[in-house]
Amino acid sequence: MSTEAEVTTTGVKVELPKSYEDIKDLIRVDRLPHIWCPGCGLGILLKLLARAIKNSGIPIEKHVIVTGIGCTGRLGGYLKLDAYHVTHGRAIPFAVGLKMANPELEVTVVGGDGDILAIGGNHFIHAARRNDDINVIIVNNFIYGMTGGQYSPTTPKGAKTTTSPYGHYENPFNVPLLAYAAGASYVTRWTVLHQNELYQSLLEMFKVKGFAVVEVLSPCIIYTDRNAMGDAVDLMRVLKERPVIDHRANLADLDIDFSMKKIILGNFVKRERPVSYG
Amino acid sequence: MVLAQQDEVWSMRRLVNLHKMKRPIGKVIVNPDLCKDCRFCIEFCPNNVLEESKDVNIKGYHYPVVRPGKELDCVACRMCEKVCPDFAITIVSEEYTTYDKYYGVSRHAHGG
Ligand SMILES: Cc1ncc(C[n+]2csc(CCOP(=O)(O)OP(=O)(O)O)c2C)c(N)n1
Ligand code: SF4
Ligand code: SF4
Ligand code: SF4
Repeated sequence: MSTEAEVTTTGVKVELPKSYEDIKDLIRVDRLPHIWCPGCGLGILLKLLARAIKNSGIPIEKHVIVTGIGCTGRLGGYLKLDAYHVTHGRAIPFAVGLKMANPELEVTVVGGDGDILAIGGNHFIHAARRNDDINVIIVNNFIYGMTGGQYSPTTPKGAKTTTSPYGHYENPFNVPLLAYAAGASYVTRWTVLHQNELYQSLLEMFKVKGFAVVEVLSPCIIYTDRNAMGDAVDLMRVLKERPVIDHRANLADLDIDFSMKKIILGNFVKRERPVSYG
Repeated sequence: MVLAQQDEVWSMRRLVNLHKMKRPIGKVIVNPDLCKDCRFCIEFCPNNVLEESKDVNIKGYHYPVVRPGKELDCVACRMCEKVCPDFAITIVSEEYTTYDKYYGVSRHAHGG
């Protein structure tokens, strides 16, 4: 059809379909199928991010992806551009360093809720406080996926995980509120099903001067498995049925709790604040 | 009662210039070996066009195939393509059908 079939490292003959013609030079076809589980939302984000990078108006040589550890951290490895895979939680300081050294770069961090908000939590709030000119995509799957389902800072109260078999006692972070309070210039939350909106947010994120945070709610089968929520399709159905889009929502109301009937999504914050680095 | 209502809908639809209205017919193309059988495409297809294959791919996963009798029902909305995390399904739409033809065929196919 479009590209010549490539025999991948996994031995599968892969031909990207015609509809991916636009991003075929950005995807490492030789590494497909990717390592993510059946029903993981990360593959969808990969496609959208590749499209957003392609259509950002910024040359691909200027784009840099920085990822830490975790399933989400593997995303950079499927993109054919400068991508750095650094230690757990340290994607943000690495990205800030890149931006300080070369302010012309468009630096984007992609990380899981554990990577960015647990081990990397301190870096997150201080980069937001300084309003460093980088982009951070937080893939919130409510759990540590890669290591087998320990609770993360966004695990909803009451949720069962490997480390909270009787239900989680702690309160989760309200990510948009945290990002705003710490000082981010741009804060949005979408799911992998709200693709047009998420795509527009990604494009906007590249334009924003300052710390841009895009929270992406994504299904993880480790989470559904621990919580008897069925499989990824069932969580996707929840992400389809419950969201309410409210760009002017009170940020304090953005907690996510699967016992509640709604999950608020939107482009919540866009403001100008002095930028420290970048 | 229900049937009568349905017939009303049919006749109302027929009042429109149906033979001139066109919609695309999508052709579903699957790359079986990329599929991981997450079922997103099957569940989120608004027209219930897809189902799981009987066969498995080289990794042992079932992949989506068009349900028998649903060959003309894909409206090329591309939802399956959008929700697929694995680049495994795509839609080509080069053909069109007029609505009268489509309803004729599909009613026939369902014995109506
Ligand atoms: C310094 C260090 N501590 C702990 C780990 C183990 N570890 C690997 S991935 C991970 C959690 C990842 O969770 P998250 O960021 O939510 O990503 P996900 O896998 O859910 O996408 C942990 C704790 C590590 N690799 N390095
Ligand atoms: S463990 Fe969860 S986040 Fe990791 S690949 Fe599987 S579904 Fe995705
Ligand atoms: S394009 Fe739309 S109608 Fe056709 S198979 Fe895909 S989801 Fe179903
Ligand atoms: S969405 Fe993609 S990976 Fe999932 S079952 Fe359909 S074709 Fe396979």
